[in-house]
Amino acid sequence: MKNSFIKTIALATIALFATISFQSCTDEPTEPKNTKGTLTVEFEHVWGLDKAPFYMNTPLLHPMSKDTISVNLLKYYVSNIVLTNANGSKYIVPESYYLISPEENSIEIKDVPAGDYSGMEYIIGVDSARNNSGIQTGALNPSNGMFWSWSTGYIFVRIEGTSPQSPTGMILYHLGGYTSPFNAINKRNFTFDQEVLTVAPTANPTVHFTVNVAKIWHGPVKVADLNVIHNVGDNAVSMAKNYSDGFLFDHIHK
Amino acid sequence: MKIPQYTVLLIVSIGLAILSCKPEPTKTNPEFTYPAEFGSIAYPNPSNKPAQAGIELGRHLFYDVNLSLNRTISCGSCHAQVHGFADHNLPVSFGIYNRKGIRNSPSIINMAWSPTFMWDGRIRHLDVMPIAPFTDTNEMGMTLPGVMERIKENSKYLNLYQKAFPNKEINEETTLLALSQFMLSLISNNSKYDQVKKGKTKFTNSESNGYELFKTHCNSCHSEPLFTNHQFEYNGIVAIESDPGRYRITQLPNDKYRFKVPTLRNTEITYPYMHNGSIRTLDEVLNKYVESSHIESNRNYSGKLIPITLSESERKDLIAFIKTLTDYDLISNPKFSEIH
Repeated sequence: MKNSFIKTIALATIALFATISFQSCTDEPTEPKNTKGTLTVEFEHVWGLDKAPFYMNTPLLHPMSKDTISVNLLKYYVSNIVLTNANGSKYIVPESYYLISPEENSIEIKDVPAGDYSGMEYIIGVDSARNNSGIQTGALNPSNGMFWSWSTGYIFVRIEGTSPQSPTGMILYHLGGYTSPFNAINKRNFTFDQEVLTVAPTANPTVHFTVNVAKIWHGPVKVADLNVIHNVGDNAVSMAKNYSDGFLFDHIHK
Repeated sequence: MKIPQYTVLLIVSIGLAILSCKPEPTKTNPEFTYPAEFGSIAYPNPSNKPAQAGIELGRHLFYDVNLSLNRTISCGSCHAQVHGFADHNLPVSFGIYNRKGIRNSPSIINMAWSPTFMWDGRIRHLDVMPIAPFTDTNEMGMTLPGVMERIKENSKYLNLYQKAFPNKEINEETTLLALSQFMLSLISNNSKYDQVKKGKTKFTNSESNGYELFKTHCNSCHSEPLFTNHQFEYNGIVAIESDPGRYRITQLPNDKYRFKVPTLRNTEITYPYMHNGSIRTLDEVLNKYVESSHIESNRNYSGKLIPITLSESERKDLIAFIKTLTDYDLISNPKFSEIH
């Protein structure tokens, strides 16, 4: 009796593993094509809470500090994108690491399961594991100028430019850090309010965020007091947090 | 013991299932193994196992002066085989255009077991470590894309990359993985100390006394068998100056003036000593450790600092032991030598 039970289990397991071993070398089982779609995420850079247009290489008056700031380089990472389905389930976008700048401000995410999504979350920066995963390719290639060569880790937000209020005339903020107590990784969780993001093979919707660049100087750091950051620390943590607070969900293009 | 036939079938079928998805085994040199006596490696990318072709490519890159801005400095310039892969007995190292660095180039042997790199541990992954000297303006003065251009201009690399990484491109990834393979292969485990441990030879009386003194006074930081605990300590024997050590990286007050404990392997040939190369001989190092007044005044930086009391003959014995850590196989191995 006991023997025949073991026999059954063993045979079933053999069958299972045999099936796996025959299947496992082919590609992922091909799902019917109509279950996936593409979506675009767009980051519109603005200046100030009233969403004035943001221009590179142009002196802009900071609405709070009244400093004049001209940005000539702005790059940052958006990573670990997760979509929240209206039914509560989540879709984790695999290998989602993107380097965003005003010049390249939209990303295309392919092969998203069709469905109605009610929200999105992502990290402004790079998760701690990937800060210390050795040499990487794509957006995380150290040749992209967003890797701290002198200390392992990525620059999450890099903003450089000029300001007459700066003691040297220059501003340079390289914000990063992924370990306590100077962790500059910020996760944001957005709901699409009353709107619904419908992903389908026939639709190519765009989720539109605004990014208030001025928000980076909303905290205690003033250009006149601190015009350069290139290391981890309280100021980097605070500026990175401010920057991530400047991301707002705006609308969805169907 | 009787093994039911179903069990055998089951094991075989599981084995098949596991095997069937393995990618083609990469060509690795069957001779390369990490020595068991050092324990498991700290290198976080063990799939990049040193293989003959990868080590050879890494060696060519390691000794290529063209990878520095004015084509004068290679990795091997400051990590010389003859000095146990430390600098040529310079207190601090010089990079392109004779630009002076701030620290003494450490020996880079047994890096497979090192969880961090540089005197302040600022690099946490061997695969990205070379980006620091490549791009430091006082060292090689390049950008990483610039290094890639210099590699691509030299036709010898086509074949070397092809052999080391078939069907892969010449890019940042393959370059740094090859450099890692070469550095991982720089293993020092054949000193007299190692031979004694393997029962192949014996210490002299003086060395043996020195070993006992070492175990009493030094082993808590310079821990066997790698002769470092990989921690950051304030050693109390270097004057506090402008270099704040690990603090610069962590910004934690407790890390001020702490530097990584260096290995004592090959220390005889890696002089001068300390992060700034400020102490020239092993005798002087020991002198500092017995100056109790000096140690006491700096004790607040490290609880482990205890002044050492050593007689003249005990000092001689301790140094005799330290000299048994010199690995002549390492410094004469043609596989590690400069390419001309």
